[in-house]
Amino acid sequence: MQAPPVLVEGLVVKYGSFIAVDNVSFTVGRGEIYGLLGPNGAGKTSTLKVLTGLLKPASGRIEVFGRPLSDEVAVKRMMGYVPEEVILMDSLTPREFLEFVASIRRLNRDMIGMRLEKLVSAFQLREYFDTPIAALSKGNRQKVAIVAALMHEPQLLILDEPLIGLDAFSSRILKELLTHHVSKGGAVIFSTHIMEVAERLCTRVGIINRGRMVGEGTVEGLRKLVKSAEGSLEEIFLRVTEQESGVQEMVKALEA
Amino acid sequence: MNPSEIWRLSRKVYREIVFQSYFSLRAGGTLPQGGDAVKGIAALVRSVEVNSMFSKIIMAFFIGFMGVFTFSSGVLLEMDRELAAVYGVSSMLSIVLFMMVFMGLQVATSFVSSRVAEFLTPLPVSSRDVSKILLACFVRIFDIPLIAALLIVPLAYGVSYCSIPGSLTVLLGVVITEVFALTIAVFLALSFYSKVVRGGGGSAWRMLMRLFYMLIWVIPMFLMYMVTSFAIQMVSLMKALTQSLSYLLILLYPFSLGFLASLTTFLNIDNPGIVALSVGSFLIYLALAAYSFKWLIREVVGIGFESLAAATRTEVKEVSINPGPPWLGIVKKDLRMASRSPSYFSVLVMPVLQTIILSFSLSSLYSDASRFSTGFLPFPLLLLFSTSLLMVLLLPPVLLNTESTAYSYVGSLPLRKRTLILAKTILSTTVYLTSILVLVLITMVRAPGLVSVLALLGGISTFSVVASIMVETLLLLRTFGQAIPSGNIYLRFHAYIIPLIFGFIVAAIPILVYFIMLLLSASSILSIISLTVVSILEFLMAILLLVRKSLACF
Repeated sequence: MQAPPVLVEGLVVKYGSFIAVDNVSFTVGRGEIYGLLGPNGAGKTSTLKVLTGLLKPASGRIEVFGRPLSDEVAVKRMMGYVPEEVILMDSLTPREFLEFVASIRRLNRDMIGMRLEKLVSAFQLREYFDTPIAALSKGNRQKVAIVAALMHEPQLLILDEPLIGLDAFSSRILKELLTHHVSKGGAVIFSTHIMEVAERLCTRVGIINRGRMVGEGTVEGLRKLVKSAEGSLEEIFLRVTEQESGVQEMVKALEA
Repeated sequence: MNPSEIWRLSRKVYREIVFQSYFSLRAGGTLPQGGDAVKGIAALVRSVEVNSMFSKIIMAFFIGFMGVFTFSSGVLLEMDRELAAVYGVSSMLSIVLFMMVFMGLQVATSFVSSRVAEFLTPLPVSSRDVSKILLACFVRIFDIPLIAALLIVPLAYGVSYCSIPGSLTVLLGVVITEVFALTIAVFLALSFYSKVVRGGGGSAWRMLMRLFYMLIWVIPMFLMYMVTSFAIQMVSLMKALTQSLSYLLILLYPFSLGFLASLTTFLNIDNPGIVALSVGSFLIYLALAAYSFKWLIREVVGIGFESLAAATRTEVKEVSINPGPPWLGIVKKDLRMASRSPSYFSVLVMPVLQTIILSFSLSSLYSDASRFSTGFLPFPLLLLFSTSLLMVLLLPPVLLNTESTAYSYVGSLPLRKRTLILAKTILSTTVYLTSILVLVLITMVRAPGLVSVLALLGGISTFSVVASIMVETLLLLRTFGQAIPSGNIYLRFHAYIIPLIFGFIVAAIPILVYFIMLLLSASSILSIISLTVVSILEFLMAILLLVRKSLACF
């Protein structure tokens, strides 16, 4: 049996004495888009950072395509990552930055030529290809990070709030690319606050609240879990994170 | 808004600008996160404030020290008093000018590039008050050194020459100089930001333009370095200049102000021509300072309302890239970043420029070179060679720091620490070899007999230099991980000191062995053999250390 693209068991992440992620477990299978949902500060970004090797977990078993995270170089070669806060090398141009990333990934010109051409055109970066990243808007920086993550055709894509800052056109392109990526057997794990996107795009979702996984499965499965046949993912989300009544109270308080 | 409120608000804005200049806040990758983040960031902010205050106090102290030292220096005491006043004031004004420009450049660039007005303008504060806050903030950048120069330089002059009119003239000279210094700093910062940061990659012409602006930006740093290193030589130089071109120099800043100070001190009006020229040129400089001041105020208050970082849109025809091996990718990236960052660029070229400056300015370097034509180096030259070698060891912390600024992305790449160390070692060694090549070329002109031994020493020492850079980089990575401390290396020396000491030891051992063997055996061949053996041994050990240690991703 093939190892799943992502296997997380009993993940714990600590910042000093603060537990950011508490015993979280989930798997992402081939051909799946897995959405990680949760309120601000729930532990989504920490979980994704552990997967990309940016954070060291306090404990837990994490494997990417059957390889442990300690096999860092091999694991990182298989993945593409778009961070939540896109902090690239400001003084470089997108061309220079992508060349740097391609060098580290040991890609050669012929291997990526056509793909890069298509990605740059799709994300409308041609106009800014030789402009320093410092002078780009947030959305255009996001596009540079997305192109860098997709350039080497990774098997696993890890995207932290990838749609924030993107225009409608690029947002649509990215969603189509993700669907195409999983149709070829790849896997995607991404965090988002946009419930409609998660509902439409994700094969399965995991809801994290205060560092704990409070619900996981398909949207249909979660509807059954919260006993709501019609509820949208937003309602499910508010219910499993126990924020539904809080929303009403807050609105009343604000109106008063 | 009353002035005290504006001054109080400007403190917050000033802190933000200083923080950005030291830590590139937007880069964020190395800032503490999670549970203890608040404490950690608060500690960083405090440390930045202390550092900036410390650097301002050091600068003020240095201006004060130079003021007292210049006016009472031996060279001046031996001269005619009237001329001594001219030379002393001219030298001192040059020192104030270069130091202010040097100190102001880094923070002024952050001031220009920061978008402080972006969070001030949406607040219920009038645009006039936003301008005032920005102006107050700008004054805060320079406050202590400005006041120190205004107080100490005229006072030191007044005490040395017992003249109140002379002292007041010097005070006016310092005011004019400070206006010029601030104008130059802001002008360079604006040019740097608009031409270098916004100017994209692409054509060779743009690359040349970037290099040109970078050199303009870096020159004041090295002038200041020369000024502080050779203050007394400068007085002698000015003396030599004025003797040959005295009438012409009366018209030139800062000599015109020096002549005027001398005139008002000694009230010597025997030569009406000199008096007329001196007063006339002073009035011209005063008018120029007034104009510069107006320009400065207009630019400083306008900074917040102009978008300096507007992206230029030029559709590119082809989007191909040329990736190479990972180490080459890192080296190319470092050079590109250096071509757009003056502080980074200056650190890279410092070993080479220092070699050039010292080779030409130290008169003793080649003074008795003819006695050393049989395989030995004169001691000053050996010392300069060793300094060039050790200066290169300041590069690894700066080079590593560039990786940590975007760690939140770079950390996800399959980049091995070993590759990183290799890339930084190659770049640092290239800088070392360039500075040695420059020293050899200068020696070829000034003392051809010493070229072969110098080239041999430089070549052999490459092994120990490579070893020391590897050891230092490895220790830096072990000590800090990905969070290499940002900011000015000299202000955060304590953080780097242990790896630096180890690097220095590795680099110094072969030179010491060479020197001891030279003293004990008086045989150049034996000394060079010892140097070769120790250097190669160190090199092999460093390679072994790098290969054997389990080094995962950066």
